[in-house]
Amino acid sequence: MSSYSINKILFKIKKDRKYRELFLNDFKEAIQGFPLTAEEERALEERNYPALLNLGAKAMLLLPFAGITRPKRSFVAG
Amino acid sequence: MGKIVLAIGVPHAPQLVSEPETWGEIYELVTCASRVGRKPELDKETLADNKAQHRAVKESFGIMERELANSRPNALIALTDDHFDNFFLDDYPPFSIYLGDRVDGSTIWMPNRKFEYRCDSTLEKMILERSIDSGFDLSFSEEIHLEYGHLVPLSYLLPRSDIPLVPIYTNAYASPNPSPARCYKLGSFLREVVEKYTPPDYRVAIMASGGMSHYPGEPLGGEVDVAFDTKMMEWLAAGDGPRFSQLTSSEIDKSGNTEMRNWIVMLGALGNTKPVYTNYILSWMAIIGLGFVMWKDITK
Repeated sequence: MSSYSINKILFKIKKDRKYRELFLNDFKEAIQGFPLTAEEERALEERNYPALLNLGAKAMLLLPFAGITRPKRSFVAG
Repeated sequence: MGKIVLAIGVPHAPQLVSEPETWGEIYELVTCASRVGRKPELDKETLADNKAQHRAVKESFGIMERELANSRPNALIALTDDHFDNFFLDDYPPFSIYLGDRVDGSTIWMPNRKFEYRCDSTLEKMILERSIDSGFDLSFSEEIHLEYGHLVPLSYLLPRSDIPLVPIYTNAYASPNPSPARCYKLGSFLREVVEKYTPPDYRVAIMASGGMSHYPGEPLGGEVDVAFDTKMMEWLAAGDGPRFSQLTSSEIDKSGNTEMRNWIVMLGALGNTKPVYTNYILSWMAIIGLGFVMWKDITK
């Protein structure tokens, strides 16, 4: 199931500060090695939260991701 | 033979340890994938309302904190769900018990605080080993870090961190989750362990942390199923714990009550005991129904 890769990336963003910075600064490098479909990659890159949910992202992993990628805000929610 | 002396059901929403002025920011986050839009009920709420809700929350926690201290428990079984802090999809346990003498915790929602608790490793081991004999086969972990599911209520209920914990997790966010019937059976099993196998007069309290209706990060974010919460509060007030074991997973999930699984585990240990205290606080800015219920002297 490729939704595993989405969730793995969201989990790493939540748990691993270095990976979080890599994701924010060098998206292509951060997703290297994860077998994402073009649609999944686009949803992550565009921070499209509803699309990510549709693609199988866990809501509780989406929240910390939204916490760091939503405009104006910079806190990580659990 | 030990006793269950106290049980408390409480919420753990981050707003409860955040000033109401910041609830609007949390609202934006929690509704990031919402298709519901802004509810008319929200526009009727003012900051003064939110402050009153926060005061009511603190009042309920205060009443429970005093009862918890007065009940002098040897251990507090602390039931909650993990928010992908300790467990991930590589191997997700339906139910997991912590094994250790102490545990620490921290959360972004209380960034300036570090938490540390003693744990009752004798009771932890007893529950785990008996769970194998009873056919429950609990998962266990020797390394966990408490997060806001435990820490929000414990920051109010256990300000001196002076009661040893027995942390137990129930899966609520990596579906498929355990059924209400299975959760209830786990609670009955916990009661049996306490009443049959702990030393004479061993005093155990239980805390279940979660809910009630809310949809964090989901398409229904912004919604609260008040009707379902009201029904649950009626069952709780009537001492009809067994009613919860008849709920389906779909019923509690659709009503935004996945976290009630923690409560249902606790209810399995309470049976038909009537509560001594109930309170329900509804907040459209925090977008959640907050249930507070307490039971005393469960083992007669």
